[in-house]
Amino acid sequence: MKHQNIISLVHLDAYFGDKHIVKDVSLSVEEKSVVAIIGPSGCGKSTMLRCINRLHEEEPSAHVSGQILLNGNNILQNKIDPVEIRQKIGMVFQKPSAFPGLSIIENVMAGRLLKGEKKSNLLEKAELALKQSSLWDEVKDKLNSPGTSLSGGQQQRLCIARALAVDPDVILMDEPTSALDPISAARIEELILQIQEVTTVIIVTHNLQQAARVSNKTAFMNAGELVEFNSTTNLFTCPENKMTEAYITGQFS
Amino acid sequence: MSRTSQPYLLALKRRKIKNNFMIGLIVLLSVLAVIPLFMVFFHIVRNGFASLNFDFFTKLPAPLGEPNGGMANSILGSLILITFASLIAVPIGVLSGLYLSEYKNDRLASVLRWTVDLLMSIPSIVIGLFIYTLIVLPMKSFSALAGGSALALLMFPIVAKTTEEVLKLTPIHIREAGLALGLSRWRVILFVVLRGKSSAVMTGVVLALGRVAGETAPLLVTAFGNRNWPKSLTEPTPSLPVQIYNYAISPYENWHSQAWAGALTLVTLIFVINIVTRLIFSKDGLSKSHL
Repeated sequence: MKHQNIISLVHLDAYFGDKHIVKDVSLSVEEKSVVAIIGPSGCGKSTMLRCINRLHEEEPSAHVSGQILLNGNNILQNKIDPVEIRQKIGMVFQKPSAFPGLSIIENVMAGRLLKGEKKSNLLEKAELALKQSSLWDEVKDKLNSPGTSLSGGQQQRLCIARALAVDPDVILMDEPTSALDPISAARIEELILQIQEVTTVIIVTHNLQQAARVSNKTAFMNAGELVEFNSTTNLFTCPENKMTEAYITGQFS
Repeated sequence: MSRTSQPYLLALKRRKIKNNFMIGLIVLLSVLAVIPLFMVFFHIVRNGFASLNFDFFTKLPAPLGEPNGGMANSILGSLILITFASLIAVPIGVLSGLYLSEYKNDRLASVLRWTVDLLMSIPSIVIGLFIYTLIVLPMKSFSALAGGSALALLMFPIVAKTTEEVLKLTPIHIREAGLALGLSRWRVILFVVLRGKSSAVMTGVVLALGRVAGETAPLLVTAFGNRNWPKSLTEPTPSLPVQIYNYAISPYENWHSQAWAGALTLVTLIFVINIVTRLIFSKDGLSKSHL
């Protein structure tokens, strides 16, 4: 089956003030695939990710140039409202971020509920999202308990359910397991493989094994530049670039 | 050093003694801090309880020399003043606090923060005199309007400051998670940040209420007082603290005991407002009642 590119970065540059963080990155992500972004700390992978849903611009000193195409449309145009983009491109953060003061079920519905939609119209969707994120069996008897009462791993799956509940084209994940214990992390990895059926995932990770386990393609970044973008198997078994090889064999980190 | 050696065991013992001593000290100081509260409360209950009866809550003050009578008009007056003050101070205070925490580097925010800090340090009698010249003099009458405004001016900085401090505790990733969900900024601020901290914000409001409910000085020059029922917002209005003050400095024994009963009522009123607000705005209560 031939997949289309859902996201393409074209000569993307991102800055914080004078600091050039992401340097001329171009890459394309196929629909319903998982792309991992790896690289040493501070190489710009999180910043690049945050450009894709235009969260980068929330910082007062930040700016971006180049193009990001979502289904062929450049979403960096000024006339496009970032709020609209973020409804199509969801995000899961490093720290579990259940909204305080909202119940589990309200957290899942938050994307639509807090925009004024009726709770009763959203229940079905919320249940589906909880099932897709394999949290349903654990929470179905306590849907009205506070979302913050769940464990870290459960909250992270809740965040994935919350992102899925607005039917996004893409979900960005910024080191989603780095604050979790190994068992919870493994469940998130399983989940990433499952939700590939309904959406596209771009994941930033420090954990090379994780990148190898969950992704179809992997991008290696260093000092703001995209060094190598290849199928995960190729990148980890026979990298084309010497620097990639040095990184994945642990010669620098 | 082995774990069974003599010096090790000695050091361990010494450490335990030190630890117990410090814990004892902390408990002792905490008890010392709580004692005044209970002494005040005990004193008020002992002196005030005897004069509390049905009449006290339902009747107007009796003319001088007659027994019985109550403070019903002052209780109602205080409730009117506090409600009026809250209606002004709570929305403005909470929104100012929101502005201070969400747009903290803004120029307007620094002016606002400075204003709030300054207002907080102005003595309440000065606020009273300010309202006196601003409202009482032009209207040529003491009034609930003036009294309520003075209390609002005292409440506002407390509400704004506590709201700001509480909202600042919301981690940045919660705000970003709201934005990343495709919610506009104002929705994130209201429905994620503010709602998440609503019970803490309400605690600040109750704190401010308790602070102004007992204010006497500014009311003396704004609401003044009245021995009848409060009839309109533009007339001199009775209030518990002023009534307590007037009765307490009088030479009459039965007025003294009524003042104690008034004090007990005032403290109980603040206590009840505190508990009721906490019940309504406890985290679970909120999500059940609002959605």
